[in-house]
Amino acid sequence: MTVVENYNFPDDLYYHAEEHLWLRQGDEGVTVGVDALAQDALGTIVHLAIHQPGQTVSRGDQIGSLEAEKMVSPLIAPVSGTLVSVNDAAMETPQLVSDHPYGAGWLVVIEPTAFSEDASSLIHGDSLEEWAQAEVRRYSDQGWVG
Amino acid sequence: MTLLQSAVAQREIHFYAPGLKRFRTGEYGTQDHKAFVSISITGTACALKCDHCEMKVLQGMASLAGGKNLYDLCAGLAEGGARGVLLSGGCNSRGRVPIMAHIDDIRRVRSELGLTIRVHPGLVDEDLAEALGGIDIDGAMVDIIGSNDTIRDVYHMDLDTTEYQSTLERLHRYHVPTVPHIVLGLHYGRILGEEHALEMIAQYPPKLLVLIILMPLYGTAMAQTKPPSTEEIGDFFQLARARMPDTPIALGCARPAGLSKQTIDKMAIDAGFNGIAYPAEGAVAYAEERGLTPQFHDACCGVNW
Repeated sequence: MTVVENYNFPDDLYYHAEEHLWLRQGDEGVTVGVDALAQDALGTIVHLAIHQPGQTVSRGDQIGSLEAEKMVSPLIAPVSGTLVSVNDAAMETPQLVSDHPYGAGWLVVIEPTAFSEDASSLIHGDSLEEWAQAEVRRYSDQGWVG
Repeated sequence: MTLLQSAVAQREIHFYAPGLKRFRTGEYGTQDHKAFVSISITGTACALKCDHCEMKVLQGMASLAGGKNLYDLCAGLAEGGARGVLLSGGCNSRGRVPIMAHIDDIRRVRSELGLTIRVHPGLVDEDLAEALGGIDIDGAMVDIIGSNDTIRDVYHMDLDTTEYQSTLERLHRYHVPTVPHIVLGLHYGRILGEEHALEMIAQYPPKLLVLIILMPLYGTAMAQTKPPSTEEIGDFFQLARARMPDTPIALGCARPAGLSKQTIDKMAIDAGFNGIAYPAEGAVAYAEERGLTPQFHDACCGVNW
């Protein structure tokens, strides 16, 4: 686990650097959620809107939106593939995303078409700590957290 | 030509995204969240702790607490790209934000830094109205409450609606541009004093009327309160437009999230409102379909840069 100023970044995950989404590979596809730093910057999430499962998405497509106390933001597909699942519990209770960003607060599962290709532009492994430190510093400097 | 006349003539609608909230949608694009900064001159402190807010709104603002100087804070913001500020804060037990304590700094922020200034003064006494009248502020934003029950039960103040009428009268007399707000459903989700608030405001023509809607905030006494129905909201939109046909009206920052927000935004457009803050996804396209030309501003509703 990489920890920067109380923000956890589990080492087994991949991270979308711009959108601060985490990705976890599994049997059913890639599970996607919001990382802890973005979660703090958002404040309490009050509404989620996510497209219906079954859609084919390209990396960078908007697949929904997040509305939180401190921010409104589109939800971007971090990889290309098929949207196979949406977290109904989080849709019903967006607070889950705030309370359990790496667990019950996941957002969607995407069955990727070319994960290894998409992963080359994600943060993972040795680059994680340096990126996390820089991002925590940037968010703090901007006044988005802290 | 007034904002309303210009908007009507050019079939414009204005969309606003002040820096209080970072905002990005498929329609709004990139917001400069440093352009218009909200400052709480009391930090997160507020004596009223109203049931719908409990100081949550103040938490998202830049804080002046801890003995900082307002001019210095604004100078730093201006260096960072700010073009305007909203000076807000918590109230004392009489519903007043301590703006007067910073009036000399506010004058310098306007004259020396050239920042556009909106203030959130709460109830305004004679001295503050006169002082604000001597500064070229862009507007005073005051929540106007039209029910004594709401003042007592929600705001926890032993006052009545005449205090709000007096505030409007004083600001008008000292030629302070006003941007009164009416919160629909403020009385625990019920429409109660809103029409009376509208009547009071209509006596002192404002720069802009802003309607907002109870937005249940997590962690407050009204977290589980249901806002008014979309039908009630739409009816009030129509009433406001009819009662004040020559006044620009905007749908302000606060309103419930989600699908109802999209419906509410469309109702505002259909009612002929002139502006919407933080528009729901689809609102811009809906306005364009009705022949309106969207204009985008990273500032509070109706701000003149």
